[in-house]
Order: sequence, then C-alpha cells, then structure tokens
Amino acid sequence: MLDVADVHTYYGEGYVLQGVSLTVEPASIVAVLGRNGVGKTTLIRTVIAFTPARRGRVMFEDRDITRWPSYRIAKAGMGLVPQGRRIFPSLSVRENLEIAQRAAATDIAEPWSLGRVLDLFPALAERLRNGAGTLSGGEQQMLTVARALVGNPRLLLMDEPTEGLSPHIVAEMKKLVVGLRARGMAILLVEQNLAFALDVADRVHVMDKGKIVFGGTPAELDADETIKKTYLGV
Amino acid sequence: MTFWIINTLNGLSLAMILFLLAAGLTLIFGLMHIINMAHGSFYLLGGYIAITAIRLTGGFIFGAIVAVIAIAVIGAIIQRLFLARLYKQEMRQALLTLGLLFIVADIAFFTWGGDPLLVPQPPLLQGAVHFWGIVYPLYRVFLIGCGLVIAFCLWAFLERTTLGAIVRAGMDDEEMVRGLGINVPLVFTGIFALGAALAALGGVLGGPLLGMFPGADFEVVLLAFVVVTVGGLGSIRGAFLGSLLVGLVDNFGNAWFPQLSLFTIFVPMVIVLALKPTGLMGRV
Ligand SMILES: Nc1ncnc2c1ncn2[C@@H]1O[C@H](COP(=O)(O)OP(=O)(O)OP(=O)(O)O)[C@@H](O)[C@H]1O
Ligand SMILES: [Mg+2]
Repeated sequence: MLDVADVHTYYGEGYVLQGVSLTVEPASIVAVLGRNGVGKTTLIRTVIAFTPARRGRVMFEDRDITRWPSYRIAKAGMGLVPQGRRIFPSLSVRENLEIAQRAAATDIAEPWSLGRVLDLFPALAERLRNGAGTLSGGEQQMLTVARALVGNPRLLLMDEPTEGLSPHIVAEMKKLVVGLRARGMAILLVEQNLAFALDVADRVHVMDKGKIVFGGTPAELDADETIKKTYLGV
Repeated sequence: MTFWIINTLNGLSLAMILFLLAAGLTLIFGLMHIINMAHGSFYLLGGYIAITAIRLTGGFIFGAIVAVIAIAVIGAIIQRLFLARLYKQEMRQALLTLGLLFIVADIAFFTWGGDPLLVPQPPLLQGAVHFWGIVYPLYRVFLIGCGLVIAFCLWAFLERTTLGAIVRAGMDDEEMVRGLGINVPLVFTGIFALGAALAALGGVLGGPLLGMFPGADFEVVLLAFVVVTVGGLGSIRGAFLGSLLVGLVDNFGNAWFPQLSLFTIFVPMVIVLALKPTGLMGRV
C-alpha cells in the first residue's frame, strides 16, 4: 500500500536520503532501524512530504503522492506519530483530538470515533479538559497516537514512539501496535529500540548514512551479528 | 473628575481602533511569522473606500461593508499571490509588505489627494450622551461598544471553536497541523484576510475621529506594533490589554505633557519589555 522507490531527499544542499526504497503491505508492520542521524526521520518526512523527495517516487495505494501537499496526503489516509510527540500545548487534550478529527479520512469501513479512541486510552478520557502541555511524557505519547487514529488512517507513520518511555508504557505501546495491525492497519515504524522492533515487525530494514543496508525478517536480522554490530552498535 | 472620565473614555475609544489593527497583526504574526507593514495600508484604504462609498450612496453601514469586504479580498489576493510564495522567508515577506505600504500610500495620494478627509459620521450617532453633568459624543460611545463586541467575538472564535483551535495549533506547530490533514495554506489566507478586514474596519470606525490623510497608515501601524509588542506577539488577549494600555497612556500623556506625545507611548513599552520581554501575554 506504500511503495517508496529510490527516493533522494535534501535539506538545502545537504544530501540526506541517497536512494531509499521500501514497501509496506496492508496489515503489516515494517520497521526501520539505524543509529542517530542516518536519515530515519527524513524518510518519514519524505513520505508525508514535509520535505518532499527531489528524485524518486512515493506511491500510496497506487497514487503517486510524491509532489502532493502534506495535508492532502494525510487526508488520503496517512497518520503521523512524529518524533518528539509534537502535541499542541496551547490546546486542551480534547481540542488536540477534535482538530485531527475535523480533517479525518472518511473512506474507511470502521471510522474511529472519539469514544472508541478514548476506550483505548482511558488515561486521556480523564484529562480531556486539561491543557495538553500538562500531560506526562507517556500520556503525551498516547495523545499523539490517539490524535493520529481519529484521522482514520490506513497507514500509520510512527517515528520512535517508545523514545523516553518507561518499560511499562513501552509494553503498552507494543500491545497497541500489534492490536492495530490485527485490525488491518499498516505501520511504518522507525525505531532505535531493537528489541521492540524485532518483537512487533513483520519486516525490518537497517539504514546507514541515507541508504538501506539490510532488509529481511526480524529473525534474519537477529541472527546477523555483523549487521547488528556495525550499524546498530549491539 | 470630569477630566478623568472624559480622558478615560477618549483613551478607550482610541484603544478600540488600535485593537482592530493589533488583533490582525498579532494573529498574522503568531501564525505566519509575517511582520505585516501593509496593515497600515489596509486601515488607510478601508477608510478611503468607505468615504467614497458613503459619498456615492449616503449610507454609513453600506460604506463600511463595501470597505471591509474589498480589503478582505485584497488581503487574500496579496497573501496568495505574493506572501505564500515567500513561505518561511521572513525577511523578504517583511520587506514586501513595507514596499506595499509605500505603493499603496502613493496610489491613495493620487486617488484621494493630500488633504485630510473624515469618514462621515452616521447621522443617527451624531448626538451626545449626558451623564453626571458630562456631555460626551454618542459616536465615541458607539465605537467603544463596537470594539468590545468585536473583541468578544474574536476571543470566542479563537477559544471556543474548532477552527479557532486549528489557528492556535498552527501557532504551536504549523507543520504538524498539515500532517493531520488540515489545509493550512487555506487557513493562512483566511486569517490574513480576516486581519485585513479588521484593519479596514478600524479605518472605517476610526475615520470619523482620526481622519484619513497621507501618513496616517504609517502612524497607525507604528502604534499597533507598539500595542502588539506590549501585549505579546500571537495573543488576542495581549492585543486587547496592550490596546487599553497604549490608548489610555496616549490620551493622558497628551493631556498632561502634550510636547512629549511619542515619548509617553514608548516609555511604557520599554518598561513592560524590561520587566517581561515576551510582553504581557506573550507566547514567544
Ligand atoms: N531540518 C533539517 N535541516 C538540515 N539538516 C537536517 C534537518 N533535519 C535533519 N538534518 C540532518 O539530516 C541527517 C538525518 O537526520 P534525521 O533526523 O533524518 O536522522 P534520524 O535517523 O531520524 O536520527 P535520530 O535517530 O537522532 O532521530 C542528519 O545529519 C541531520 O543533521
Ligand atoms: Mg529521527
């Protein structure tokens, strides 16, 4: 459903993605691993067209979205859980969800109502009227996921969703993404947490310096000590 | 006592004109990071267009509507045609709006001449109100009332509607709002047009008191920038408080020390900024 074909992405003169290709099938989790600064976030930014690819192509459900504006891509059914959470601190929790719902995709069998999303995140239900900036880190991460879900995405881009979370919340997150996949969601997951990625992903890719240097199943990656040592430092 | 009441009311009526300008400036800066010098042009053109429309048809309300709609459309076109193309190039955007200020000033001079013109007051509001032995112009009372109603409507729009929440979210993180599927470029155009319309309304409502003349655009935009700086960039409540402060200080300053008129405006600004660099309600 997502097909990234040989994309090259720049920040000004800075040449970051140097020919990256990968695909994500429906109801599957594809993980991208790699050290700091190899271009994982840039890959996400390229897919959602915050920083569009200068060369190459991004196809989403057989439509070429490479040059679409970001809002149109999101509305077409792509949800974003960005690195660093990026909730809107001057809005209440409810408003954070309401504005996302306003632009929700409508062409989906089982739309996510506010109620259904809050069933998944009871902690948020209790804090709807609070300022989003007053939530704890874990709650903010839940809000980011909830905010993406009310947009009714069929593909979720998640950029280091476990960053800075306690082990308990990471376990919750694991249940959550596996549950979403069981409902048919496709997920492109960027991670530094190797164990988490190996646990949930159907396919894993390893990136280094703007290129993909490994692609395979979690078991294959786990068995490949050289790749793990050279590119992931474990 | 009479001195205090009259100068307070005069200060409030000036404050309402300033608020109409500052509200748009602060929203446009908060959302798009544009220092919009052309806001003075919207004020000036709003006043002039109202004068012409009222001369042609005789109706104040009709003139006001024509002026406000015309400037909203002009604002939207300027944003789409020029500013949107300079997205994120803040210096170029500011210079562009400064250029527009000069161009519009010349066009206005050719069209309406160099003599000050007053927007005619609506006949219904030409009388005076009497209270506690004071006689006070009805029009100024009307102006204060209008300002308060508009301030309330803007506050309700921003704080109580989903569209308002989108604008506030855009001030926090515009890119992320796009990532949620919201057509942020359209929101930019809408807010720019809204700000332009408010500035035009400031020209129409302030026109009977301050008049339109070459240089009024610059004078008023300078004061509005003081208001926005004092109130805090990006905050409607700050724009309101800043307007009250500047309007009142300007009036009492002029009453007490008429020779020091600009001085009395900038002293409070410097004091506020020294105590709170982000302004009274600032978010950045
Ligand atoms: N907005 C930007 N402008 C210029 N260069 C950038 C920008 N964002 C990232 N870079 C550079 O691009 C490279 C890739 O950054 P990116 O954020 O994609 O890495 P990452 O793999 O997500 O790292 P991390 O694991 O730390 O999040 C880095 O060298 C970074 O310095
Ligand atoms: Mg990153």
